[in-house]
Amino acid sequence: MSSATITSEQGAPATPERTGQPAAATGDRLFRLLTGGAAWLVLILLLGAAGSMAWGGREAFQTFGWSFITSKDWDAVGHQFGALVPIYGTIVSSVIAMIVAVPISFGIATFLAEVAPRWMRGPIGMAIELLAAVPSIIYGMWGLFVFAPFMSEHVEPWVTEHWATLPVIGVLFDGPPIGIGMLTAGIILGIMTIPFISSVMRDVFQAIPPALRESAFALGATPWEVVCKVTLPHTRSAVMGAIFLGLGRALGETMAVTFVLGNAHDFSLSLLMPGNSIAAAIANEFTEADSPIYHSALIALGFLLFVVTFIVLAIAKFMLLRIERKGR
Amino acid sequence: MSRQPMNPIVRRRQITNAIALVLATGATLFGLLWLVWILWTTVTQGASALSPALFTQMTPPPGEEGGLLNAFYGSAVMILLAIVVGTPIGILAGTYLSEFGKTSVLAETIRFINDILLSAPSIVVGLFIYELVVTTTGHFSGYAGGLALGMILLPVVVRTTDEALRLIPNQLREAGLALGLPQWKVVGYVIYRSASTGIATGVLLGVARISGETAPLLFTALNNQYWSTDLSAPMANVPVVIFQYAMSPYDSWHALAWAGAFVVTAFVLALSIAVRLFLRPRSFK
Amino acid sequence: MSALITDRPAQTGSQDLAQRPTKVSVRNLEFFYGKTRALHGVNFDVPANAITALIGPSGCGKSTLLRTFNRMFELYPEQKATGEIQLDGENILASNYSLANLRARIGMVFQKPTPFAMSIFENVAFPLRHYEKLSKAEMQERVEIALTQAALWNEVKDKLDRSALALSGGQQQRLCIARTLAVRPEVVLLDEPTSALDPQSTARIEEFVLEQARNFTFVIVTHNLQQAARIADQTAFMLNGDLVEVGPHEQMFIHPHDPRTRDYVTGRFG
Repeated sequence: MSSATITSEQGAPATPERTGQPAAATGDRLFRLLTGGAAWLVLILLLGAAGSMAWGGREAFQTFGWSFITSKDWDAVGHQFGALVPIYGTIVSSVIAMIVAVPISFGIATFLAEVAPRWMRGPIGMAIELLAAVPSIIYGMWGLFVFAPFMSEHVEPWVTEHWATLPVIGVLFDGPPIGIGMLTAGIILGIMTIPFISSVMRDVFQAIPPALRESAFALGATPWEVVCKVTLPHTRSAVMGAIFLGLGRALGETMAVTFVLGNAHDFSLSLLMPGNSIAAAIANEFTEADSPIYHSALIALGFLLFVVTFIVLAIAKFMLLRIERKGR
Repeated sequence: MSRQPMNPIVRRRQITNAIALVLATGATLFGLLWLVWILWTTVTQGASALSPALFTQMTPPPGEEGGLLNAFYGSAVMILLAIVVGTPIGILAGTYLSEFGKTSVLAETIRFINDILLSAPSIVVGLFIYELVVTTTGHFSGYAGGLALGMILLPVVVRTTDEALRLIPNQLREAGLALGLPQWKVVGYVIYRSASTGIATGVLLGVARISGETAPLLFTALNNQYWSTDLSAPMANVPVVIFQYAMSPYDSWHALAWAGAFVVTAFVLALSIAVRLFLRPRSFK
Repeated sequence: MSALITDRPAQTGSQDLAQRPTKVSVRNLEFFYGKTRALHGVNFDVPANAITALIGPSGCGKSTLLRTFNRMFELYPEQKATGEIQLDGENILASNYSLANLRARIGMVFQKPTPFAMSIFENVAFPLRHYEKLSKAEMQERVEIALTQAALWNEVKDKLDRSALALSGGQQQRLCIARTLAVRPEVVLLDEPTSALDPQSTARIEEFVLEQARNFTFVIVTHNLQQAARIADQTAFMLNGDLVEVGPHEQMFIHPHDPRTRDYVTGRFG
């Protein structure tokens, strides 16, 4: 069959009956409405979460006022709730986590950007990212059954012996080597946040314009000098963003620390003593809270955690956005 | 390197460089060490506790032997519920961002908020769903657990859908529209198909993430020692069982917790690796 | 220069061209990307059932002009066109002119092949289904006709169920043409349709255009001068947003009126 015969019969320009067009505009309007509604839902969920927790915690905030944050009395029987111990614990364990995670992550990002041969980058980067996929409860269990005994037998006695006598900071390391406590929790948190920080750092390191790196190499710079003097200054804000992202994760992490913190409500400066964190306190006590004010106090804690992580993550996001804009 | 005597400044720079790079390599090995250590523990402890009873028997009372069948079932049902709730909403929201909102202030705001939800503490999600569902219905339930997991899945799907759709060249949209097709047909039949790998990657990575989530289930699904298919009642699930059993003083419970941990970890890692190897079109932050 | 003038009996002479009815008429067309004016009052007529080529150096506005014909620019809020484009005497730029109707009557093929991630058959059937309710047999027939018109049928008739993405670039482009033809447009816009293709695929597409020129009105953007010379009945030369000269084959390539056209077709710039 030749095309010419077909076309002369069928392909001739004519205005055939068109169906389905009036529905098109309605369909598009519906589609836009549907997708737009779903997008708004993301905003509403965030506001709803913040609002519902502010509402749930209002009784505690009204009853205790500022002392909710500044008092360390957490007395479920006497209905007195001051959250200084979990707040302190959250901050201290996160700081330890950052002390562990930031240098290691920087090392990993440097390794992947400048040291590793090309074929190795994919598998190693993936292995590090898999650390992030391991559920946090596994970190917690491993912490409780493996890492805490390890700390108590091999690390903490040494730490107490050598550092407890130091002036000022000695008090941080003076305590029984029981393995459970802030130091162990902080280190596990650090391990957990390494993949988050290092994978973002690696991405921003890889995203710098090749011409910048190449021109530094052309001047005879060593790989380390390229990282320090070219890559790092160029990506400074994104690197800070990556660190804040890790900090946000560490502040809100629940399961990994709940196992090894010890759920104590006694204030202690020592990192070797059992402590608490906001997330761990909620996880441990929420289903046992037997009075409305106890309940409210825990939800108020959740509200504080939410606000603080929101701020930290927002800072992270702003810093990461800055480099995205610069890249464009 | 040349054989000539080296300029001392160059020499010092070379030494600094060598030290720094050795340290960076050491940091990477250090990071990998933990992965190996944690996996090793999970595999050895979990494998020794594996038995057919794990998949045929219910969670036992304190100190006794048993399995995790009801917990596996509950987890599967709640994950499924999370997918049913989170995926369509997430894909629609991601579609709005990519196809309508683009770089408008509203779209950028939603992206920003979504990225924060992506990293927000999961325990807070649990508290929110508790206030929203458990308080209003008056009891813990599988529905609440599924919703909590869905709310964690949602931002993952929103983000990956948005990214996957934005990778589709504009010319494909124009080609569809040039045929006179309405936008919803172009997106629904043409663009989604081309972006399906990216969207599937997002959903599966999200599923991997919620499979091990514990904190949001603690006070939504709670737990249930018995076989229950009733979604409006408290529901057993693997992560919470692991948590309770691991914190208990009984060795038989510890063994079950390790077995559960092994199964969950194996599932999550297998899914993550499979997605990365077979689907992933590009890196996912 | 003589290489440009190929002997082509099919090509329409100037008298013949003048007798053709006008299909599309562009009047005082101005185009803006934000505040940048990309077209400065363009006026010209596209004769029916003929091939009109738009030539000019990159950035001259030829693609911009083409994209006003089916209002594709409306996708981008910062782009705007003023003036008139009349299709059979009706102004398609008027806001009350139905966009769906317009795009059914004016089809477009893009620079890079844009097959949908569907089977070969579905690529053609899917848009068709949007316009017409057809039985299975009718649908088969229409798909076959379109693929035949686009000179693709013989290559794909045994694998209509396979993914269109598995076709070669040239085949994909002809599939996109078939997809456009299936809807039975009156005007077909071709935006540098062969710039991403090898010479052999290019030749097949040119043959298709020549073969179908009596059935459709073609407007083709190309920066391949030889291509314009080979196939166009009428050629329009654009420069910096102005339409410099428009005319039949022998005027444009042998006796251009405007010195700028002469410089361009003799290869002095562009």
